[in-house]
Amino acid sequence: MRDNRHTAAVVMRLLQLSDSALPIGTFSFSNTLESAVEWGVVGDRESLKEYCTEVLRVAALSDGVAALHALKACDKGRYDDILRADKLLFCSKASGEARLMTQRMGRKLAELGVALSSDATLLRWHDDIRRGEVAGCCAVSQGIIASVFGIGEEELFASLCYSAVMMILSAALRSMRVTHIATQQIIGELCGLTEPLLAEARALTIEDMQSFAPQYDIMASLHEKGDKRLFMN
Amino acid sequence: MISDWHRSDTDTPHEALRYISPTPYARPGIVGKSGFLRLGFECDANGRTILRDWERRVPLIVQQALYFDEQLPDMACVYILSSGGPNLDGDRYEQLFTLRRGAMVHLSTGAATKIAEMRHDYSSLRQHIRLEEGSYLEYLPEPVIPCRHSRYISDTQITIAHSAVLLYGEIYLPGRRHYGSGERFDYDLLSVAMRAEREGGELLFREKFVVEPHRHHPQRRGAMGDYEIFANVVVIADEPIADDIYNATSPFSDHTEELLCGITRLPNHCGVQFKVLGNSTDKVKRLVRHFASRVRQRVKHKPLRDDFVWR
Repeated sequence: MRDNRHTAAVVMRLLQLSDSALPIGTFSFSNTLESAVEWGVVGDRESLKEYCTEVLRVAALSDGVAALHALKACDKGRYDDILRADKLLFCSKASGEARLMTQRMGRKLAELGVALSSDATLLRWHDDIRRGEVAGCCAVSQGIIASVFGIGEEELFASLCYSAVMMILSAALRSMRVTHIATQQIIGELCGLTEPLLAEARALTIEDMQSFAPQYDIMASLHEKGDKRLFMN
Repeated sequence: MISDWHRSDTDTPHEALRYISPTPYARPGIVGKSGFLRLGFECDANGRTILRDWERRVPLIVQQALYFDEQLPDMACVYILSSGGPNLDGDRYEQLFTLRRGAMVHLSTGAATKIAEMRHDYSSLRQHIRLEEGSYLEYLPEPVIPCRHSRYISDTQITIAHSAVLLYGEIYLPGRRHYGSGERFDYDLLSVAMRAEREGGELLFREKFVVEPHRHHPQRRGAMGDYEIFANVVVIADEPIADDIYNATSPFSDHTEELLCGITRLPNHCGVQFKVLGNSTDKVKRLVRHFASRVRQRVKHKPLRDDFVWR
């Protein structure tokens, strides 16, 4: 059983893994914001917040479900279930750049994980990514690492949601007129959504992973085929 | 096994559980509530695609294969009709389409799929599309119109051989836009799932989206924005075909025409996906047909014929 007492060490580990300075390449991606700004979908603080809300929802009900599944599978030593979550999540990502993002960050996170721990599952996961045996989605790496470091479901989910939103907000600071204070306010305002989204994500099986964001998908397509780019997606 | 598929139990998806309740007027399972359609196509000795075998149960109806497309005169064109009018509470439909080696089929519906206003339960459509080597299916049904408080579950399984090509495009309207003062996103549930795999079970891609406007309205930035109509077109094809279609298609955003569209490569090099958002049914349909014509041109070296004026 997982110990739900939040020791200072576990909290510090969680902060480390949620930090935007974590060297897994987050800084290179805008999660479609670059196109959304260029095509006028996002232009001010309110539209940025609305866009972040949708991206948060997509991340929670797809990546979030896969991460929770991977955490539980890792806790129970069911490696096949980890592989299944990875396969289903990868096959759910219709955008080529979204696949690129999740695979690069997933691989970097696994590399970092084996530098921090010698856990057998983590080593196997990293080896499978390196040999191209698995897609190596970031959310699945996050789930495995959470299990290895004793991070609970709630904390993992919050960390994943935070990363998804921070990726957009960090890109927003470099792409549009918005202040650091405004982006922090947006994070604060979105915090309240995490709890109901966690409840929704927990109720879903891995087969129920879902996302409905056609405008986001089209923004990804415009970026993929566009000729202006500061970010990799 | 495809032969066993339609006999398997229907697992109610999570999002529909809250709507399950017995219908007082016609329970699921009785005649007229469980439509079934099985269509098997194959090439005859002359290379013409024929509807070799079929099985149907009301309210789903198919009369015969037609050969009206002068661009591809050997292609079987089939319209699926429903004698029951709109889909009602508790309706459970199943459709199985098999295209044997080299068969070439254009499938559509006779009219829009209207999901009637509901007070009990939900309506569902389960489909299994199986394409053998060298076969080609264009499946372009008329739009889905989910009326006020309707609940609709669509679940499509695709089994496709490497050299087969599937073009499958669905258009979803927000409701009866011209009914009364206009009905937009007043439905309870629209759940659409699709899963494609090879004959051996290798998963190619999967997609699931759930829209519950009363819980989370879809007209938000990132979801549908200010648009009301969504078209989702999937092309599953070998990599060289998919690459050509991808390279020939440009995403765009046109504020004047109120159209937004994009294309992306599906995972595992299995095809492409084309998405359109718009506010005019005609414009969205036209764009989808234009894209479909590009696909047909690449695969069969012929364009799609103009749609009939009455459609």
